[in-house]
Amino acid sequence: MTTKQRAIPTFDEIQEGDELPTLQKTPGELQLFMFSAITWDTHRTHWDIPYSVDVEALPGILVHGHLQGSWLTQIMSDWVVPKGKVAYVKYQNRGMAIQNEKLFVKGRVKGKAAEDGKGVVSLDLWVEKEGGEVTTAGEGKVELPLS
Amino acid sequence: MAEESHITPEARAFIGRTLTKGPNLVTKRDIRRWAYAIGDSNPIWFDDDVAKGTHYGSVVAPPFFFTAFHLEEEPLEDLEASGLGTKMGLRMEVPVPGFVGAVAGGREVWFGEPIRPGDEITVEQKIVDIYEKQGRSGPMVFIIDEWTYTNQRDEVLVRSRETLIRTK
Repeated sequence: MTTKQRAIPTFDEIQEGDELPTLQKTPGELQLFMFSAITWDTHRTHWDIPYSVDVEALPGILVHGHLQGSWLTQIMSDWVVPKGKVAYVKYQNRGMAIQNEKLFVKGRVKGKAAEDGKGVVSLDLWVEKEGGEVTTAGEGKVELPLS
Repeated sequence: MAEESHITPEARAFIGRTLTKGPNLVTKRDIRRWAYAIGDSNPIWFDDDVAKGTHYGSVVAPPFFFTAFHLEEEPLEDLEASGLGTKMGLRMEVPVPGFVGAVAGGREVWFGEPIRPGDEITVEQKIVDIYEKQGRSGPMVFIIDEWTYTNQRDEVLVRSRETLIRTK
């Protein structure tokens, strides 16, 4: 693993309305299988396409709600870790995403404040499909040093 | 018109009840597998040399790694044809007769101390509230539980509050 050169913003630099770099994900069968395995999620709706289509009448295998939750925290950790930390996330899964759909994980700064000697940045977070349909929506907080 | 409550005294008695799992050991390999599965290449999850130069001091787990400790492991012969296990946790034991649907209603997570290799994680699930609402397509029963993840030093790693919606 090589060290990625990432520029982590300072608390002072961050402004309300700033957008986080978008994370693009296209979870294929292989990734959904890996995530099922790592979470011991044995439900066939996440890895067995014939079962999902023929028995559950789904359009394909479902992208796990936990995986989309993971990405809402990944967009925050990509932005501030290791200088800062991910402190909080809240979300709801609103729509279905299936294998090989292009998903965009997005975030926008909605406020910042100094609390207990730390810089706390509040964010709106969501996952949307190519046409803009939101599959998961919520909010988060990261903490950064006060410069 | 006053409707009869769908929450029986037997269901209400679940409020405050807890279920504890673990402790289970966290290894570097577990963390690496998690990061690969979600597609997260931040070196702080893998690379000791990078991690040593940060305030973390060692590799740590990505925030959502805690959900790897969420589902109950069950042997193959106990799984249903759908692949679902039979031990679906305390919240599915709350009796709501006639409510066959179970929908995830959202989650709120507070992250405490980072999870590190060598941590032994204990998870306590506690039912904290049960209430009902009339939805457009019928009555819904909301079961709220809180999951607390602690390590061998009793440090709180994660607190997760979840809503399960039971529907007819």
